[in-house]
Amino acid sequence: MGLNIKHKVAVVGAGMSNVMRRAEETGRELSFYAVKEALKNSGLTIEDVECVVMATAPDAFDGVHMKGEYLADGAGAFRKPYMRSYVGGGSGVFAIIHGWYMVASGMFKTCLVVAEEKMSSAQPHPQAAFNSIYDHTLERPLGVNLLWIFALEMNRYMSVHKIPLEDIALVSVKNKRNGLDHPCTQVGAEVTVKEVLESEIMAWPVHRLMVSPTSDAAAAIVIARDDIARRVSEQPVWIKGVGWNLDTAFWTNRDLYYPDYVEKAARMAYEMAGITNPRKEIHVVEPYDPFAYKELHHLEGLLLADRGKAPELLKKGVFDRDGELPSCPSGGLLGVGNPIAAAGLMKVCEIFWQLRGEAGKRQVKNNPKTGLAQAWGDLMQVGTVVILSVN
Amino acid sequence: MSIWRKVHVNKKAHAWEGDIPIYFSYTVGPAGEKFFTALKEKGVFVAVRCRQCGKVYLPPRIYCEVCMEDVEEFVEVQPEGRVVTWTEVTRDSRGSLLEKPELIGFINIYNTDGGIIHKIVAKDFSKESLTGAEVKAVLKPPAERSGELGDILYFELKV
Ligand SMILES: [Zn+2]
Repeated sequence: MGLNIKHKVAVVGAGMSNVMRRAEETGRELSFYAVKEALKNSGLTIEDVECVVMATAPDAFDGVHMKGEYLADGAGAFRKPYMRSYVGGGSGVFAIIHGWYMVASGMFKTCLVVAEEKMSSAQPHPQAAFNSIYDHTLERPLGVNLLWIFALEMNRYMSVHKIPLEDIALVSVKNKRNGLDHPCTQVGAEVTVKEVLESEIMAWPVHRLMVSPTSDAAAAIVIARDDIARRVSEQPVWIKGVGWNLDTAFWTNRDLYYPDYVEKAARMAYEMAGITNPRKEIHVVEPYDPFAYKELHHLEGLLLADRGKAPELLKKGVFDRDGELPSCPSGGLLGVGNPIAAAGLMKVCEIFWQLRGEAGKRQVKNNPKTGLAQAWGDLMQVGTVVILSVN
Repeated sequence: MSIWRKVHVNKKAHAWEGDIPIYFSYTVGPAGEKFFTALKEKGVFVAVRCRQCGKVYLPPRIYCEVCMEDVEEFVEVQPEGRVVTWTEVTRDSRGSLLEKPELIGFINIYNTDGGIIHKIVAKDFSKESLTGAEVKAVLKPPAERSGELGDILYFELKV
C-alpha cells in the first residue's frame, strides 16, 4: 500500500435516531434526526458541510428505488456534492471510509456521513428482499433466506473449533445487557444463557435470541480536516486507519469458519494506523454482531483473538465493559438493534463517544485511546474496518 | 465478441423465472399524517413554514432541507394554485394506449413554495394558456375520503 495522504482527518460530531421497528417517521426524517444531533455537538453548521456521504443498504428494504437520492434532503445534502456508499451490511463503516477519502484527498474540508435503514417497510418480512441477493438459478430455487448462511457458517465455526452453543449464547447475554444502557435501544434486555438456548431454533444452530432484529434508524457523523477539527473541537477523534476487502460471492468457494476478508481489511487498517500489536493497541472494539457467533468470528478475523479462542476470552470477561478489551459496549446489533447500514455507523458513533469519555453508563473502564469499528455484509463477504484514536 | 449468443426465446436457454417476493407498507411520517388528516377531515392542504428562511413547504415536512432545523409552523392552505407546467399523456406505464389522453400538471399551491403533481381536467384548453392557468382541486365527498392522494380526484380550471 503506497500511502500518500494529504490531510489528517477527524470525527468531530456523532448522532443517531432511536432504533425501533415500525417507526412512524420516514427514512428521510430518521436521517434528519441523526444529522441534527451530529451537527449539534460538532461545532459546525450545515453551511460548513461541504459534501455528504450516504450509506443505505438494499433499496428493497425501504421499498424506494434510488434510495440514496430519495434520502438526500433528510441527510442535509440539499445542493451539495452527494454520493451513496453501498456494500450491503458493511455500508455503515464503508461510509466513514468514503467520507475520509473526501477530506483526506484534499477535495473537501468537511464531510457529513449519514447512514439510514427503514427495514419495517418491507412486507411480509425483509427476508423476502434478502432472498433475492442469492444467485437466482443456483440458490434461490431452494427458497433460501438469510438465516441459512448464518446457520451454515455458525455450524462450521462451531464444528472446526469444537465450540459449545453455551459459549456463543454468552454473546447475546453480554450484548443485550449492554444494550440496556443505550438510550436508543430497541432490544436491550437481561437474558440468561438458558433463555437463549431455550429460545426457538430458527435454523440449526441459530436460536432466536442469537439474531438481531428488523430495525428502523439512522446515524450520522461529521468529519473535518485537521485544521478545522482542531479549531471547532476540544477533542477531535482522528481517523487513523481504514480498510476494506471483499471475498468471493460464491460461498461454496471459501471455508466459512474464518473470515479472511475481515483479516485483510483489518491488516490494511492496522498498517495505515501503524499498529503492530492490535491486542495491546486497540482498547475498545465494536465488531459487527448481527448474529451472536459473528462477534466472535469477527474478533478472530480482526486478530484480536486467536482462531477459535474468542469464546474462551469471552467467558473470562475480557470483552466485558470492565474487561481488558471491551467489545460491543454499545450493546451492538443484538443489544441495540440492526438497522443494516445505520448499524455500522452506530458502531462508529459508539467508538467516538467511548474515546471522548462521553458514553455515560456505557463508558468502558480502561480509559481507551484507540478503538476499532467493523462492519460486515454485502453477499456475506465484505469486511470494513476503521480505527479511531484521540492520540 | 463478448456476447455468446442472443436468446430470442428465454425458454430455449436454461432459465429460471423468479420475482422479488415483497411488498411494502409505507408510513407517511408525522408531517404526512398532518397533511392527509387535514385533507380527509377538512378538505384543505397543510403546509409548513421555516422560521429561519421563510420557505413554506408543501407537502409539509418536519425539517427544513436548507437550514436542517425543525419546522413546526404548520399552516392550512386552500387546495388552489397555478399550473407551473403540464403534459398530456397517451400511454400508461406498461405502454398501452389510454382510452383518452390525460392531462398531468405540476401545480404550485398558493402561499407556498411547493406544489403537487396531479391530473387536470380541462374541457376546453389551449396549449398556450394552460401554463400559468389558475386551478383548484376537486375532492371526493367528505364521507368517501380516506386520507390519501386519491382523495383529490383532479384539478380543474378556476373560472
Ligand atoms: Zn429554512
